[in-house]
Amino acid sequence: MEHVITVYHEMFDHRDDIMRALAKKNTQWQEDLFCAVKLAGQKLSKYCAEVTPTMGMLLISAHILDPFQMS
Amino acid sequence: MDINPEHETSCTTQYTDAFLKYVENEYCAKHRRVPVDEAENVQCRNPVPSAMASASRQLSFAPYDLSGDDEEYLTPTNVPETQAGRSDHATRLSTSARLYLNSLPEPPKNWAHMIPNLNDYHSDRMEISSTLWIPDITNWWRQQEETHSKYADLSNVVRDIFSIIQNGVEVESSFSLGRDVIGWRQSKTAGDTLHEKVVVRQFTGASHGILAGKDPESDTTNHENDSEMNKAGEERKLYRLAKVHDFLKMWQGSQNLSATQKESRAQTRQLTAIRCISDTAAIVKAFWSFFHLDGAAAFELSERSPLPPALSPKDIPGG
Repeated sequence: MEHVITVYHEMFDHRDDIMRALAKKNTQWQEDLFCAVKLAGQKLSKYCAEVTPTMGMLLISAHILDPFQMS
Repeated sequence: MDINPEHETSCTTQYTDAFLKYVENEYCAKHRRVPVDEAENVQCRNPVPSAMASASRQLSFAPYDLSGDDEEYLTPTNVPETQAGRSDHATRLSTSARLYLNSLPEPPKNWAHMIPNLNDYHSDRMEISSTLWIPDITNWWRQQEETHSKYADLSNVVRDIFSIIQNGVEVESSFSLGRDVIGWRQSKTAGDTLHEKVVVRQFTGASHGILAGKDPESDTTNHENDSEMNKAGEERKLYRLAKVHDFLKMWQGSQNLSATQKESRAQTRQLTAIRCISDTAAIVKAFWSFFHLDGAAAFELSERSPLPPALSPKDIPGG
């Protein structure tokens, strides 16, 4: 349970990295991939928003109470 | 919990504030709130009760019970604070939480010490995987409690939070539940339909199968989790659907063929009545004057016959 927040953050960072790398590409498949990553990011945000209202406090507490990754 | 990613402060700061508020509301307030009739009986001098010591008190008062109403903890002023020991414990808990949040993360163990042959590609994989270091959080907190460190008060919070089953998170459990409901071949099921199905299933599960009826054998919800039975049922439905589809296709083809034959028959009848001479009366009415008599031409045709001319008796030898 302590890894949920970390995994979400890593997925968001990964999405940002990919979108940054594909932002200025003009090839068709790269533009398609950019759109797909953008939609995946929206879905990820939606899931994250559904998790946090109910279980968010417990997930944050578990993340903080992990002494090896409390930053 | 109000975590706003667009806020000026970082998410870490917001998480920290939310955690402190959570500890104060859920744990510190409980220690400040003690029922009046129980405060006379409780003889608590140890601010950090162990599991054995607190077991007897939890019969009537659970200090870390999360199942209570949250409004109780948000209004601690309505409850008398009668015991100094519990108030001290709440203060220590809050202080411990703040100290823990201001401390540095625990450094991981030395990988080179744990895995001396990590770069040796010829070493046994199982040996490497058995030496992989996974941080044991609960063990770390148990050590804090046993050594009575400055974070020992937080170990009860850790015990409560990390004892939650991981697949109890609602959305993740709903993902697997949705796959059980919708199946791989039902990609056209709308979101509203899936939502209704999931709600009915959860209600049925929560009410211990009241909706399913009395007979467990006829209870279809008992079998819905069995993916193999669902797959077999889908196969049967598809087979029946395929048979019906084939029959409908054949019936439609025969209907089309019959309609085409009728149409062509009507056309033939119409053509026969208008253009063709098919009855004997018309033949009788035909006169010879309609024919062009040219007998010479007919003989010319016979003279131009491709057959060889007849032989005379002179041409025959000996004749």
